[in-house]
Amino acid sequence: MKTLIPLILLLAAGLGYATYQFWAPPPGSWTAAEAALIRSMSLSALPPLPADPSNRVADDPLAAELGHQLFFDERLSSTGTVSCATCHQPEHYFTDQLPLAVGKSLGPRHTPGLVGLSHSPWFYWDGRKDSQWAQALAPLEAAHEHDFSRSELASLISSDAGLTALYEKVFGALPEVPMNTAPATPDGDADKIAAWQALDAEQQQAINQIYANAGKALAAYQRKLQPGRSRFDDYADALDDSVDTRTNDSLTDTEIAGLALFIGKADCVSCHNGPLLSNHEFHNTGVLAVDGQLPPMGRYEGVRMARQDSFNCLGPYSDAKPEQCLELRFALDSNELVGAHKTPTLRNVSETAPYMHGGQIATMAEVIQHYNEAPVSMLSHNEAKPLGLRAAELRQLEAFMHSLTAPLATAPRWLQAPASAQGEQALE
Amino acid sequence: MKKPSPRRFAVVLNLLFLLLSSTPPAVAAEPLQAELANGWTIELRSQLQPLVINRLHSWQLILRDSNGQPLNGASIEVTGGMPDHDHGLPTAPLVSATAEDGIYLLQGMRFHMPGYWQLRAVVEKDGFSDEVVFDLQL
Ligand code: HEC
Ligand code: HEC
Repeated sequence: MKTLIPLILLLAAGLGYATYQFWAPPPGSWTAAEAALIRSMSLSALPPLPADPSNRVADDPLAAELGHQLFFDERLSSTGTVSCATCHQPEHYFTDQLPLAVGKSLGPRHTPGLVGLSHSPWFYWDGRKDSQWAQALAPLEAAHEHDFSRSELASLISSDAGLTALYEKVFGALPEVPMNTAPATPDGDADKIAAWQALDAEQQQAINQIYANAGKALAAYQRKLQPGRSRFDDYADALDDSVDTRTNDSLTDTEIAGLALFIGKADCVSCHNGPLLSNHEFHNTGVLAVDGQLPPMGRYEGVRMARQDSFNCLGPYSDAKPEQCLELRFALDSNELVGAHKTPTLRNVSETAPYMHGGQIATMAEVIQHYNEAPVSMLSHNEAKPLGLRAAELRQLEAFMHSLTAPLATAPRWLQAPASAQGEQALE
Repeated sequence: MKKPSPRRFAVVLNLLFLLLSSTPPAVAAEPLQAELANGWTIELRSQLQPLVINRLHSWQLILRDSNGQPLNGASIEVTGGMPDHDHGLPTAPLVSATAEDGIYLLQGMRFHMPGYWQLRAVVEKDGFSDEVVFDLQL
């Protein structure tokens, strides 16, 4: 009999450990505060799209048509093979399933999705652009992306009857530009800069105007890309009358337990908040630098670049009055921003792996493990703290992440190349 | 003249809110009030109602002397942060004077997380200077 005692003790300890790791029932009820917090994350609480005073055609339907055409047009590249949709693929919520984006060549960053993005005041992982139209200009000229140039863009729009017609409906007469010159831009390699300097100021100005307007049309198109209601939203909206966690069966018990962690012990909600599950702000979460890259400075440098950008809200191609450029004016500039990246939305996140600014983390389970450990940041400090979640809780949090996916609330025609993607036919 | 509290800790707003211990966004923010060491009062009113997170907005600041008379010409600096998270505001707000007596405008405010925030106002005028701290639950 005596010999059995250690065995029984061992079994009991094993059972205890297993229960501890794997048994974590969801809460029975929400406090009023929790219920309100959950409702504040529902799409029903999403405010109307914020106006963009720097882009007077942001909500012009014809501008969106033009942007739609440009977005899918592979002629906007030196190889004739790269469009925005090469990386921002509609069937993958405007991401590309790659760790690092590949345009003309391999780039340094992971492709973020574009859904609901027009609610954000800042663009890029490091926030180096202060409007969606100014953002759209950069990939066109980046050597690893479209490797195009503003002079070629102006030529293309001027020589394609369909694009010219649409452009003129939105922006008025197309200024005259030198046709089919060598690729010219002030932001390219030595040859392109030399070609740019060979143009006179009036030509440069006309080209810049068309370039900026193309960006404004691309932004108008992207404003159409909005998230659709997920099971989580149905669950959150039904909490109105009751704080019983099982008021409705839109979420499973496991997902409800994951939601409780998300807004509670795991505190994801401090950054992933509001209806887009993003505060659109910049945080250091201790993600390792991409192999072979130095740890990035993130927003610390991004805010400087946004201030210096000649296409920012205060620049000559912005439609805003200086006093409307509030984001730029009150942008924080602080050491807190070293290594900080923009909080991405978690809408549809189950469909947009891999994750993080360099695609460093392959799966959702690993993302959650990352937060559980909260490794020390290589630069500055990791704002997230170790969570000490148990195995069952890690699974619950992961399950909740999968309840945020839904088809977009965007008419299907915007999610594919337009019939006239090559610009052959003008839109009537 | 009323005596300033020893730590000059301005007391909380929105008692109702705390009583219900409800922390949701979408609650009308009550004005925040505090007394400075010399008996002056400062009041902060959010112009965003309800006061929600993730929205750039302004506050009106009202500065009065101990007789309730408006005070012009003060320099006021407002900073803020979340003590539990060890970080500040996500923006760099600024205070400017307005055309109205004793009324100042605090622009460029944004709260980016739900939870417990503190705002600090440093008021300086005619050689007098004091700091008050407000608690804010979002
Ligand atoms: C080669 C792949 C590629 C192409 C082509 C491309 N992008 Fe991107 N896009 C990316 C990557 C990678 C990032 C993130 C880069 C960074 O933050 O430094 C990005 C970022 C963005 C962002 C900012 C997202 C955010 O969360 O702030 C927008 C908007 C965007 N792209 C729109 C476009 C548009 C419009 C085009 C076409 C003009 C385009 N992209 C072409 C890969 C691409
Ligand atoms: C301190 C703010 C903060 C907290 C807290 C936080 N996140 Fe994040 N989250 C971010 C930032 C910033 C990124 C992007 C980091 C990067 O790319 O370097 C991110 C990225 C992610 C991504 C990748 C999304 C994508 O499209 O690449 C997921 C998934 C995610 N977070 C889930 C969570 C979960 C789950 C929690 C809670 C355990 C959490 N986050 C807590 C700020 C935060």
